[in-house]
Amino acid sequence: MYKYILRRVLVAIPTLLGVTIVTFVLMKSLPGNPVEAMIGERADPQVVEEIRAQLGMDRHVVVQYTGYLWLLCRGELGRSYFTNVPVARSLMQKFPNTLRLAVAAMAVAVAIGLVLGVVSAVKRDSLADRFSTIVASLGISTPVFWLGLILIIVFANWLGWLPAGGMGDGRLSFLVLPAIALGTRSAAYIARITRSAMIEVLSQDYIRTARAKGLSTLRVNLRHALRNALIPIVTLVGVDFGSYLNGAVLTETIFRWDGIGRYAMDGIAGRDYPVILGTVLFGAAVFVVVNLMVDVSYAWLDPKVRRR
Amino acid sequence: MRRVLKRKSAAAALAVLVLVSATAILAPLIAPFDPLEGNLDEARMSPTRTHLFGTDEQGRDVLSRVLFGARVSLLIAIAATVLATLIGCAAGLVGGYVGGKVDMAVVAISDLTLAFPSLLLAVAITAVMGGGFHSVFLALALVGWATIARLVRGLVISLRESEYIMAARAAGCGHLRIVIRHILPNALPLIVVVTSLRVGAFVLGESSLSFLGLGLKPPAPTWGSMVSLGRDYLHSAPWMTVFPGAAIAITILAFNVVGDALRDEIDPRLKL
Repeated sequence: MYKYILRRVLVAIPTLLGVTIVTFVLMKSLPGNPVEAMIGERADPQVVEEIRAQLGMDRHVVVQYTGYLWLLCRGELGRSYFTNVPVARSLMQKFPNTLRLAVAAMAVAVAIGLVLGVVSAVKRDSLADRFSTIVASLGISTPVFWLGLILIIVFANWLGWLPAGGMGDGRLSFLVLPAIALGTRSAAYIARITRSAMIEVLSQDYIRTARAKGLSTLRVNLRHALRNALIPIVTLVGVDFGSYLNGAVLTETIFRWDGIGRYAMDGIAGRDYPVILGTVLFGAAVFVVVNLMVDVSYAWLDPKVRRR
Repeated sequence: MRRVLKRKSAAAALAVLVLVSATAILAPLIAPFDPLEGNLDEARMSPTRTHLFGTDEQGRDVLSRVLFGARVSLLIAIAATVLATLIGCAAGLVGGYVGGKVDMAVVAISDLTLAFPSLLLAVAITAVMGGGFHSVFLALALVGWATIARLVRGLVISLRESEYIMAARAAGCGHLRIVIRHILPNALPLIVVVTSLRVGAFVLGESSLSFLGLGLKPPAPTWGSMVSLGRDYLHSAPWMTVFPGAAIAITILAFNVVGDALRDEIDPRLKL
C-alpha cells in the first residue's frame, strides 16, 4: 500500500510543477509590467528592482521561471493591487471559511445524492426512479448562481426562514442556503452514479447469495450493494470537493461568504491580477492534493488496490 | 437519430433546442421591444400583458433581452464547442494513433489542463485576454478540449489495433489516409456524443463568466449578466433574475437530455 501511495505522490509532483508553469505563462501574458502585475503599481521602486533581480527579468525565461518557483516556495504569491496585503496571507485567512462551506455542501450532496441514488436503483423503473432522474437532471442543469438567488428569493425574502447572506458569526443558519446551492449539482451527479453503480452491483451473484441467506433487504442494499458501489462514488465526491472552488466563486459572491471564492471575485472585478493568479494557483494545488487523497482512499476501500 | 427521437424526453428536449435556436435567429423579428432601449418611467415593472417578463432597472423589456441573450449564449457555446472539439479531436487522434512520446505529451498537457478547477482557469484566461466575446469562447475552448481529447484518444488506441486497420496498413495505406478514411469515421459517433454533452457545459460556462462580468460588456444582453444585474433587485424585482436564469437552465437541460439520449444509443459505456 505504501508503494501505491508513493507512486501517486510522485505523479502529483510534476502536475504541480505544470500548474506553476501555466500560472507563470499567464503572468507573463498580463498587459504591462509583470513585476508590477505581481506586486502592484504602488510598490516601492526599490522593491520592484529587487524582485526584478530575483526573478532575473533580464535573463533567459527559464531562469525567470526558476526565480518565480523560488518565490512560490517561499510562499510569495504577490500582493493585492488595492490592499497591498500579501495574497498568500489573505488566502490562508479565508481558506478555512471556504473549507467549512465545502464540507457542509459535500454533506448535503452526499446525503441527498446517496438517498436518491439508492432509492432509484432499488426501485428501478418505478415512479420513485423517474422522479429521482428528473430531480437529478434538473440539479445538473441548474446554474449554481441562479439556484442560490432563487433560494434567497424563496427562503429569505418570501418565507423569511433563513438569512439571505453573510457569515453570521458562525451560526449554522447562515450556512444552510449556500451549502444547498453549492451541493445541489454534486448531489445530482452522486445520485446518477450511485444508481448506475448500484444497478451493476445488485445484479452480481453475491447479492443473490446474500438474499438467499435470508438477509433483510436493507442489509443487502446497504452493507453489501452500496459498499461495493462506493469506488466510483468516492471518485466523484473527491473530484467535486476539489472543484468546489469553481462553485465557491459564484456561491460565496451571492451569499457574501468571506472565503477564497469571494476573494477571487473581488480580484476579478478589480482586475487585481496577483489575486486572480494567486487564487488560480492555490485552487489548482488544492485540487491536485484532493485528487491525491482520493487515490489514496482507493487503497483503503478496495483491498485489490492495496495488494498492488 | 430516429431511435433517439422515439424517446419522449429526447424529442421534447430537441423541440426545446429548435425553439431556442429559432428564437436566437429570429430575435430581431420577434422581440417586442428594442433590448437596449428603456423607459425609466417603466423601471422594475412586474410582468404585465405589455411586458410579459417585466422590465429591468432601466425600464428595458426583460423578454426582449432574454430573446436577444439567446444569440450570445448559443453563439459563444457553439463556437467554443467547435473549437474545443477540433483541438480535442486533433490531439486525441494524433496522440492515440502515433503513440510513444507524442501520446505522452498529449496526456501530460491534457492532465495539466484537467488539474485546474475549470471555471477558475477560464476566469484567469479571460481576465488576461481582457474579456469580451473572443476571450470568453477561446477561454472555454482552451479549458474544455482536454476531456474530448482523452475520450477520443482512448477510442483511437483501441481502434488502432483493429484488424481492418492492420489490413489497411498491410495494403500500403499511408498513415494520414488510415486516420482520415478509417479511424475518424469510426470515432465519429463518440465525437458526436461528447460534443453534444459539452455544449450544455459551455452554455453554463458562458453564463458563469457573464455573471462574473467577464463576457460582453453592458448594455449587451447576455443571460448571465442579466442574472447578475438582478441580484441588486432580488426583493423588489425578482423577475429580473428568474426569467434569464430559467432560460439558461432550460437550455442546458435540453442539451443534456439530448446528449444523454445520444450517448445511451451510441455508446452506453460513457454513462456516468
